Amino acid sequence: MFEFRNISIGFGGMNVLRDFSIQLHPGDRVGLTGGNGSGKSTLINIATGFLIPQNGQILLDGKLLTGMPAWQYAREGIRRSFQSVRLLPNVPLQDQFQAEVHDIKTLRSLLQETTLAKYLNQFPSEIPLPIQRKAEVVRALIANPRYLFLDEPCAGLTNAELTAFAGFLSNHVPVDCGLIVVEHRCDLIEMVANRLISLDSNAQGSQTSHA
Amino acid sequence: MSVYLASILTNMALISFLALSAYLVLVVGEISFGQQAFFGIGAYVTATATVIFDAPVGLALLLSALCAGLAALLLAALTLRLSGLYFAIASLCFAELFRLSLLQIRLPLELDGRMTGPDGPEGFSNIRWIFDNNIEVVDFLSLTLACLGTLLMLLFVLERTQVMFCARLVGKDNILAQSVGVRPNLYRMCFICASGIVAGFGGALFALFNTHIEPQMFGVMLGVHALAYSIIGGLGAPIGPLIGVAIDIGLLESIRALSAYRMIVFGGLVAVLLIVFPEGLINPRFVNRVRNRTRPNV
Repeated sequence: MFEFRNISIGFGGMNVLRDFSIQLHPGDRVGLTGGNGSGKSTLINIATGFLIPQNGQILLDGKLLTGMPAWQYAREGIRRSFQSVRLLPNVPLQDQFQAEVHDIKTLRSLLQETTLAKYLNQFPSEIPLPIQRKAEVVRALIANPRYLFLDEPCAGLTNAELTAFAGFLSNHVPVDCGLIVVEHRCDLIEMVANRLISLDSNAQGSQTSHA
Repeated sequence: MSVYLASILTNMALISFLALSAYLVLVVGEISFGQQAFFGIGAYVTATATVIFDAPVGLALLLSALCAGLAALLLAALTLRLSGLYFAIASLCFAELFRLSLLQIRLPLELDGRMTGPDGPEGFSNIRWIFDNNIEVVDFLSLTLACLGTLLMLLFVLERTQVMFCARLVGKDNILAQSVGVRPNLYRMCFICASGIVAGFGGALFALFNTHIEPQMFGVMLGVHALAYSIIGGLGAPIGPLIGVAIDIGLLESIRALSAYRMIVFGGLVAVLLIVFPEGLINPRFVNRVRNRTRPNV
């Protein structure tokens, strides 16, 4: 269980999150929504160790993570993607995954199944955006993440690409991995998530369930 | 082989150590203007060890590499929170601190009727290992090339490993590196320390070959050149910095007609190369293209 306990953070006197608590479980499919500035990205940054909350705790199966550096979160199995694609510009696609200690067979079969195999020798600038987005998720998946946070993974994709991406997530994110998706486009969340967390303007998390 | 050619080649090989040390720092994304200090530390340690303490040369070389590595580790630890421009300035300050301190160390000695020992701006004269052991320039060249060859081989092996990939990841995108579980500061410390070891080893050989060293030899310009070699040569493979060295020392400094204009021509060349090849001649993209061609399709 991945737990936010009474998290508060503000920037320059403006509270972004106040006394925010949620619990995520393995296998959860969570859609995270909210208006601009409601703290979605801040929440991901806190969850993955890139920001340290002013108050509150992050716990993974009861183990306190708050204050650890971001790379340690990653090693604990908390992975993320970024709003803008982050791949190494000078490295062909097949070498982008080297930072992970991974099983070559798993990677190959994953690449074959996700239509990434066609682009293995190409540099990110030569690869279409939907493929780049998938590559980022694949990079996280080969590390066997326990909780995966995706920050607007469908920004810039067409509706058809978005549907394909949703199918890709449903097929390839393991059932015991918690998936948390921040997205403005409700169709993705409807297709992927079974639980909705909305960060409304008064910075109190409100939860609703659907599907 | 003429003595002139052999000494030029030796100089190129010696400066290559410095260029490779700058390369190692550039790989993890920092720019160091201070590699000449590690080169100088290596030179002074070897001079002191062989002349004053009569240490065997192998031990002196080892000690030089160790001391320079420790100094680099100290610099890396002190600048843990600095990056980019601030790291560059800190490394420059570190190097100048070293050079200016040397100017103050005056411990001249007389050994066998010759003046030696560190003597402030006069430098450290009569490092006579090369004469005492009757080593010809060509022999010294072979020794230097053997060491450089070993280093290059180590670097080529390293290049194929995950360690190098992660180091490049840290250099290119620190945030991404953290998000995949790579520990940036660890890589930074290790690579800066390794760069000190490499530069210190080169400096040690430099002291033996030159037989006289002085603080002015380890000024900023030396470090700037070392950086320029890596930048024009490219960061794709360890051979890049060597190409930079070959262009500057092999072509410009050694050809008499050009040597008077060396700085002008070299400066111009760097500018032109950076416009045409912004990431150097042997840039990572080029290396990866070659690698793509040579490997079987998955």
